[in-house]
Amino acid sequence: MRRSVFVAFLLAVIIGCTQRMERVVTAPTAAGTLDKKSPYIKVHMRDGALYVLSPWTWSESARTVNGTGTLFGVDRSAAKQGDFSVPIDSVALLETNVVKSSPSVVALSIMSGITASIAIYCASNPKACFGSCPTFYITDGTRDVLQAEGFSASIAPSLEARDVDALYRAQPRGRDVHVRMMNEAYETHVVRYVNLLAAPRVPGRRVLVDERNRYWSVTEPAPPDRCAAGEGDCRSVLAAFDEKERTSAADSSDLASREFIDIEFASGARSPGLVLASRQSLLPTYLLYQTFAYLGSHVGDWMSMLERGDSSQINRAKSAGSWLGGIDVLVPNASGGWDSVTTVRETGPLASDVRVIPLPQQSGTTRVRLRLAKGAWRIDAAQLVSIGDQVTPLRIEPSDVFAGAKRDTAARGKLSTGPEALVTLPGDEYNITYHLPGDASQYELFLDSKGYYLEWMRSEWVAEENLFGAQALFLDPAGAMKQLAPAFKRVEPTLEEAFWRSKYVKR
Amino acid sequence: MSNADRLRRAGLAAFLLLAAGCTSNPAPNLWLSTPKTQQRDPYGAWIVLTPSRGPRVTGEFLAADRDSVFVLSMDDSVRAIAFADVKEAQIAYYDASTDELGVWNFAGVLSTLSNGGFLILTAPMWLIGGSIAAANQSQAPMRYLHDAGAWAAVKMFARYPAGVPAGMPRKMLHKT
Repeated sequence: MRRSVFVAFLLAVIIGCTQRMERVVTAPTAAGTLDKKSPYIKVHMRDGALYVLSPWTWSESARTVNGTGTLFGVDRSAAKQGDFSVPIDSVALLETNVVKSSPSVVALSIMSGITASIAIYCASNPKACFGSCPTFYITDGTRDVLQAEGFSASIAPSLEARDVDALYRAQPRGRDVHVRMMNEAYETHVVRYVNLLAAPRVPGRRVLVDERNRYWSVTEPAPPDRCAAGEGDCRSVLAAFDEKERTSAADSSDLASREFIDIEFASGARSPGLVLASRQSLLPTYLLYQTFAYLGSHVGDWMSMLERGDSSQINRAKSAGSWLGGIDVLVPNASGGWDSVTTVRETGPLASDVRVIPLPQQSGTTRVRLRLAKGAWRIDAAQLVSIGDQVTPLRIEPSDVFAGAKRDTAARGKLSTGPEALVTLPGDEYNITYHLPGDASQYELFLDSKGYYLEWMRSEWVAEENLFGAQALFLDPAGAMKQLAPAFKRVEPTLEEAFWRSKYVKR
Repeated sequence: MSNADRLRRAGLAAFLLLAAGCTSNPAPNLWLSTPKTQQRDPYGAWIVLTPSRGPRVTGEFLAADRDSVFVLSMDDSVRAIAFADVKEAQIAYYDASTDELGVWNFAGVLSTLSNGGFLILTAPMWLIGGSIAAANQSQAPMRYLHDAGAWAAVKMFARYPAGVPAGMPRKMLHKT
């Protein structure tokens, strides 16, 4: 508020100061045409003296200029002050000066209006701001596609982590793989390394990674034969990894409220594995930003506690963050219930990641139940494979790195495995080349990145500072999920559009 | 090129655009004031004369009469230079307050950081539009003369626009 008043005051001062003056000199014979808008009149006398009068009038009948002011001598020393009536026949020239608004001010006012309107639009949905770690674009054979986002959960140095993403749709040609790494958010990225993992594959099979970072040779994935969710049949939407995603709306009274998706594969499989292509919705992003907003100006204190290794803070942060949970994968047990196999927790709302979840052998039909928070996940594909041998991928470090059009050997060194890290700011873009030992078609590719990132605080967030709210999020996340539900539901319909609009650099 | 480099270059570009477009007011600091104050000022405009030969002459523009221009120098002496000897002249008759406009323009460029991806449109808008606006404002109080026959159009900015009065002293105190 104080800042808005200061800005308004500053603008008023600038607009007040930035004006123009138009001077008109009139012969005494044309005194009737004098511009009455001029608050002052300068009456230049034939002897070099000058009257400066304000207010002033012109009397046509008396042929005099009348007013109050000062008479200046030839040397411009003040000779007399008071009311004057100057006969026009002793006047050499009459001068009026009218002050007007500068067209430059009008132009800058319009530009300010445009900028402010856009800022208000962005501020109206501050928690939809584009965020989430480095983004990686790789060709799918026809165009560059966002295929991975690195270490999305690593929002502080102490949470620095490694992240492996399957480049499932990557179809580079030849032996060189080109990866475009971008910082598209108001964040500082600290990238410890970005390596390519190339797992040898044989024709007719794929290689997938599981939650424990083990790589498996698998058969080509098969679509489900039955899929039932709250909205009805979801079989077609989960049949293939094709950017058609199954989504749902968050619960209006409890953001942690769960839903189920029941999937069946009639054919069964030997050593079955569920292939899940999924990414988070914007609900976790909203909650993260809400946490920052509640912490407001104390975010720095909180981050310091994390960095000092305050285990209670780390646990609280993890507890709040994990309350929405991942995607629980369940299989039927002998007593008619369901047993949990694993929980898929890939973080990030941008790029879908593909994981294989080894399932226990079932007789006949393979049945799987997914349990997840309503509105928190987007699932692109749920398919079945037979898991074969374990595969060891080759680790390939960057062979060349370009920052824009310029080769950057320093960045290449930092992006390779080692103690140094590459720091990027909003808008930074690096094109990384990896050289494979053979043709790309012989490998399944994965991106292995490590690092952390720091969100930039937005003034809209600081304005929402509420330490009680932050305390509730950390100490009573279940209650906070209920408390925040109405606010989230209000912005949920427009969140997606606002999110993509707020990218720092538009593609 | 890193984004920090890009920001630095954008800042430099903005500065160069402003520097290239803006005309600095030749009058001594505080000699001229804003239009509101200047409209009741009894003195003439500031003038810079570049003669065909010899050094520049600067001071208060007193008059342009018959075949000469009269200038009150800062040493309080009145100097007359023949129109024919003036190669060019620059006249400034008020302070355009371009510094304030520069502050506004700079703040405008910075404010585009709040525009997310739209910054790609609004930042150049400020860099280009703001520079043009500032340049335009800086030119408003200036008049230039390159022709000896053009004095009639600018003599209204003199202390004595009707010409040299009969009793004009050859030495008088300059405006402070």
